[in-house]
Amino acid sequence: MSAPGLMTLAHSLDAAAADGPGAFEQAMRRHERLVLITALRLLGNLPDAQDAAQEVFLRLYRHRRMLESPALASWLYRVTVNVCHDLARRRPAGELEGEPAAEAPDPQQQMVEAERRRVLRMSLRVLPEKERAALVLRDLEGLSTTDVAHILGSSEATVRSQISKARVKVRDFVERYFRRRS
Amino acid sequence: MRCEQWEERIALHAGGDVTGGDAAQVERHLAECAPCREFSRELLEVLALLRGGHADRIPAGAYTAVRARVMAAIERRRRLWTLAWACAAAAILLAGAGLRREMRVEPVRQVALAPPGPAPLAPVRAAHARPAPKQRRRRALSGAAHRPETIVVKLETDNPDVVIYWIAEMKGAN
Repeated sequence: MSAPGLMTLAHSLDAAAADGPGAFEQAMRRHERLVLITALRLLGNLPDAQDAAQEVFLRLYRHRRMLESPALASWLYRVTVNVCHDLARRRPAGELEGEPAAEAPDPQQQMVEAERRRVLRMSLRVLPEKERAALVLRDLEGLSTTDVAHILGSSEATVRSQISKARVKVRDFVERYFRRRS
Repeated sequence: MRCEQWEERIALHAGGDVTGGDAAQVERHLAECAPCREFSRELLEVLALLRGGHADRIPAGAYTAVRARVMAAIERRRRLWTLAWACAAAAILLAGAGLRREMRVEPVRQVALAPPGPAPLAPVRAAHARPAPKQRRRRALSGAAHRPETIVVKLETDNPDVVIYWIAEMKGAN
């Protein structure tokens, strides 16, 4: 997502920036996908991702003035990355859990989607934490390299290096994965 | 075998992170090198696979659970704050009440200067009146400490010709 995209997303919350819990719940609804799915990609399982998302939103509640900021989305990504980092340090990586997904109507489609999600989870797991964060934000969430650098607190050159290494590692993993399966 | 020195640039190119002259260089190399072209194609496929997996929806229940937990935590925190404020207010009130009790001044005995009722009708002596000889002698023996104090209060009435003098003798005032 480009900077204007981030700004549009953040400005959409202006109306919900009031202090009441109801307004905050509305704000949460607007951003829950961003937070939960980013946490899920970074941590690899839904229960941990839900814990991380809860912590992110509690921090947002404490910093409610951010609801009016045009940099809200960027702030949410940064806090999500930091919370996931802290959580990953506190909890040793457990077994990969099957990711529950909204059910597709077609069973064949369900199998394809389940396989795709499995490959995604496993390939992200082979990456070091920083490369994983860079790849998730750039290639999965679609942020610009500039935004990713800002969120991760790194230089653009570092982020580009992390992204290219991550892409090569993921490609190698996926190749090995399908070679073993066939 | 793909060319290692091109690996990073091809990986960046696959994600659209190479522009301008650099992009043209990568594309020229891809046109000439079949293994690198294959590598680039695989990268594109893998990125598409990852994005497809990422786009799959998470069940709504997962979001609802997070929202419920957050709102419950906020409510718990709100109640705690309310309780804390109530305790603080109660403590301030109690401290204030205690301080007032400590600082309260004992009521001072005051001598009424005006009589509550009419002036006494009993015969009284003026301050300058001489006591009887017997009484004078007794006073002289007991000393000044036992001398009664005489209070004279002049009460003016509406009638300028009538003035009331209230004369009281306080025994043992010292």
